Amino acid sequence: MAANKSDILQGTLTLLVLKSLSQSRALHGYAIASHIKRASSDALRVEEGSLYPALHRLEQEGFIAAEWGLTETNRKARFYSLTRSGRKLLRDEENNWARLTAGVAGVLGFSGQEA
Amino acid sequence: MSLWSRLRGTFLPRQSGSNIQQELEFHIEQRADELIEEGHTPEDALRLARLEFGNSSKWREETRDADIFIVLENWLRDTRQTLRGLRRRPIFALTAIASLAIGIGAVASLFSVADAVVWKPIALPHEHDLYILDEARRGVPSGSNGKRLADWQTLSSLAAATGWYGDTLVWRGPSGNEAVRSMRTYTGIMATAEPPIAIGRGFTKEEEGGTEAIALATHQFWRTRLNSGPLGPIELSGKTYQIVGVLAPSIGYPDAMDLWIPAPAGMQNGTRVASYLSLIVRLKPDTPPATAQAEINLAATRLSHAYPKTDANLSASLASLRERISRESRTSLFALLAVVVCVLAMICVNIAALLLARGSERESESALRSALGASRASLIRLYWIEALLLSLSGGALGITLAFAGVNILKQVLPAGLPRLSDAHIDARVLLFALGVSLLAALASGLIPAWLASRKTGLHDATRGASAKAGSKRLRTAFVVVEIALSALLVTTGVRLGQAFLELTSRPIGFRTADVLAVTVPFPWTVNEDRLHAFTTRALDEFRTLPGVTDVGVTDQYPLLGGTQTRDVRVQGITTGTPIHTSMHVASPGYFNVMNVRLLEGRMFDIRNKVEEYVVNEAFARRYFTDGRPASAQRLAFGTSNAWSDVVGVVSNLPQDAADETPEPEIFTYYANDYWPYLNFAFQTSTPAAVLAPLIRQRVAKLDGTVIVKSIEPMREKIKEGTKDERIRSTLVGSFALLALLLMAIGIHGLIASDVSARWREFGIRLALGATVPSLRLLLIAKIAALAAIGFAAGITAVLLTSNLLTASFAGLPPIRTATIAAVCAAIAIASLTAILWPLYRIARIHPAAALRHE
Repeated sequence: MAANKSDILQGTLTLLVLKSLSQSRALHGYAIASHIKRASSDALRVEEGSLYPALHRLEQEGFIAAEWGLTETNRKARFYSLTRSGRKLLRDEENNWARLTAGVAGVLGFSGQEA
Repeated sequence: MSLWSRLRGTFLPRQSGSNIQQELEFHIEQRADELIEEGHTPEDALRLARLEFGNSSKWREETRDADIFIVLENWLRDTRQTLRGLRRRPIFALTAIASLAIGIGAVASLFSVADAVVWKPIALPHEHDLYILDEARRGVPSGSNGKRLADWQTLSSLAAATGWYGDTLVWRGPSGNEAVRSMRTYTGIMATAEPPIAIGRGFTKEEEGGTEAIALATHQFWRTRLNSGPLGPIELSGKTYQIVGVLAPSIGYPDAMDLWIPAPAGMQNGTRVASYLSLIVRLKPDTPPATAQAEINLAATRLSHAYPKTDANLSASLASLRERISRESRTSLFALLAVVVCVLAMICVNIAALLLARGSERESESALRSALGASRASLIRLYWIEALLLSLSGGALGITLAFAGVNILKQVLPAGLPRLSDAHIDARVLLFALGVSLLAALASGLIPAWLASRKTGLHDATRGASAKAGSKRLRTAFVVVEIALSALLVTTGVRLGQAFLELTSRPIGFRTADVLAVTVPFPWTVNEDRLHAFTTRALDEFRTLPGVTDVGVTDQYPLLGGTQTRDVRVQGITTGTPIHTSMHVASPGYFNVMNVRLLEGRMFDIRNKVEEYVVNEAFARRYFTDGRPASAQRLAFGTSNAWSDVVGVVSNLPQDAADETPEPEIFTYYANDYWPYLNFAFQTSTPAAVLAPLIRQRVAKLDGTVIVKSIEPMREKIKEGTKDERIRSTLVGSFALLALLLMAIGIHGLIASDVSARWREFGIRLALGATVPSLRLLLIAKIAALAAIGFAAGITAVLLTSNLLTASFAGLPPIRTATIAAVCAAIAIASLTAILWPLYRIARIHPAAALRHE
């Protein structure tokens, strides 16, 4: 069960990726994964097996753009950045997330009062 | 940017597998670096990083799923689905493909002709510096001669200059006598044209002068008539020429020649009086044409003064060779191309309308697909593939049709079109056809696919309404566009038809029934005595053939233009500038055969052994103004004072069908002049097929070096004079009919689907007391309204393009009210015919059944 704790809730990976990208100009896949891990204080771990398909899907749908570039250590890496429609998607997803968490909190709070 | 990347994502594979591999390797290395920092050995770090990463090949595929070949796979899958769909509707598929094939085939055929005639390079190294030098005397175009060529060759702004004339020679080939077309070149030809030589060599400077009997074969002649054999001697009109080389295949000027042969030295050094030479000059590099023209103007003035007898009032103007080649043909070819593009547009509109109708049927499919996760783009792709498949199949079939189409165009288009014989389906045409097919796919498929892919919820009960209304409005607009285009094309077709009919319905003023036209061309170098001896003996021989009443000879038949012009003065009347007038040769028999009446005086008589002239009525009326009879008038040519008698006046023969007023003309006995292109006229009721072998036999007996070029009824022969008008009205007319048919199909589709959609409504109306005729009137009113709008738009287009059309089609009659009324009637009839079946179906609506109809 402990392993599941760090799994990312279905559908939130997109939100996390977009949010990570929104805070910087361009990031490669590894940096996105590290950022999520770090920002969540190691609570969330992104599976590489879902991260890269998700990145490529987002790119194909035009929400993020990708470009080959060099890292500080002079390695060739693929850098991702948000597009305009990606920014819009991020806003929508954030709103959805806020609604969802508010809803879940409401449900939890309501049942808590019942008890 | 995002739209672009999305489009790219839909239609193109994005990224290769190795790129993904690279990206993942980077990830692993990055993780390994981290592990090293945490204290692992490099080997351990890499192993751990890989372990953490898990089965990379598994999700490498997952990543790729969002990527590369999936795109291709999507296209293939959608194509398979669409093919299945089309197979279920074979009639729709076949009609669409067939109509697209006709449209694309026609566009491709005309493109290949326009390409050959207008756009293809001449393939001479300095083609952009090559100019034609047009000489004129008193503003009337005339030919040049070797003496004046030598004068032009001294000009400093010209790099080189040469001249040529066309000549028909008889080749004693392996399969008997054949006519070959030769370009007789003058000195300077190699320096001016610098023609690329495929085999052998060109002419040397000495050989250009015409002292040696040598020839250059065009590639076409060498390949087809000499069977690509070794170069050797060839016998032409009784003389042996050595073929020294073969020209490169692509040379596009002059058109349709077999051989280049230096003109005989005697011809090249001939008299300054002659006027038969076409001049080609090459400007020095970087010399502006205006500078060269200025020098030419000065030289012309100088020559006018130096040789007042022959060169008075001489002028000469430069015209770009490339421009000249395509000038006359360009506008009418482009107009024809525009006409077929209009027809193709109508075909696309019809297919778009059908796809739109299908799109409405597909709404539930779209809803289901998008509910299952299909994106808008993937739906558009799925639906657009249908149009793409139809267009590509139509294009492929169209290309096969175009092979035949080009051959038909080569037959029917005026042979005078330069380089028409070069037209064929090549890679450029194929590429063009592919482009047109893709455009057709976009034009016919994109809007329907866009509309059909509109996201609608499965449960949304009202979903169809707005999409349906949208596509309905669009289909109505399509029909209006079709009516407008038909109105434009039909009006143009009718006007061209009128122009042709006006030409051919004019009284021609000579006999064409039971007259046979027989052409025997001698080479231009034929000895004058030999020519005249042949002509006299041939006339006698021909007269003895069975069923031949009379025979005559002339330089050119009526309606086919003139040949020579002369400066002439009438004694006692012409003072100052001589009359520049048309001159013909003839035998007295020619006037009898053609039923030309002798109005005054007598016919010239060879036995009188002096030069005698007959003038036509137009000449007598205009120039014999002193009241004396024609037989009292005398003529002299140029500045000479040798006066000759006019002996008679004959009725006018028209030179050109388009001429309202006949040209003044002078006739002289054939032996008084040199014109080796013999045109005989036979008066006979014996069919051409029966006489032909006898005529050929007699000609061969009289002179073995000459052949009969053509034997045909005069009625057919003179049709050549109105050929352009006939062809363009036939071509545009048939495309206009096609347009009318396409319009009718479009209208039928719209109204038929309207009736189906309103079946229930009509049932209710009938139940409430409406009558079948009133319902029919409803539909007729609707179509009438559409037709009125479309027709008005079409006529507006006619008026707006009026200048363009008059420029493209010479002799186009003005737009008359009657024409517009006729076109209006044609469109009304076609529209009504198109909706007959839907109108008839209304009678079968049964109110009770219709209410249950879904």
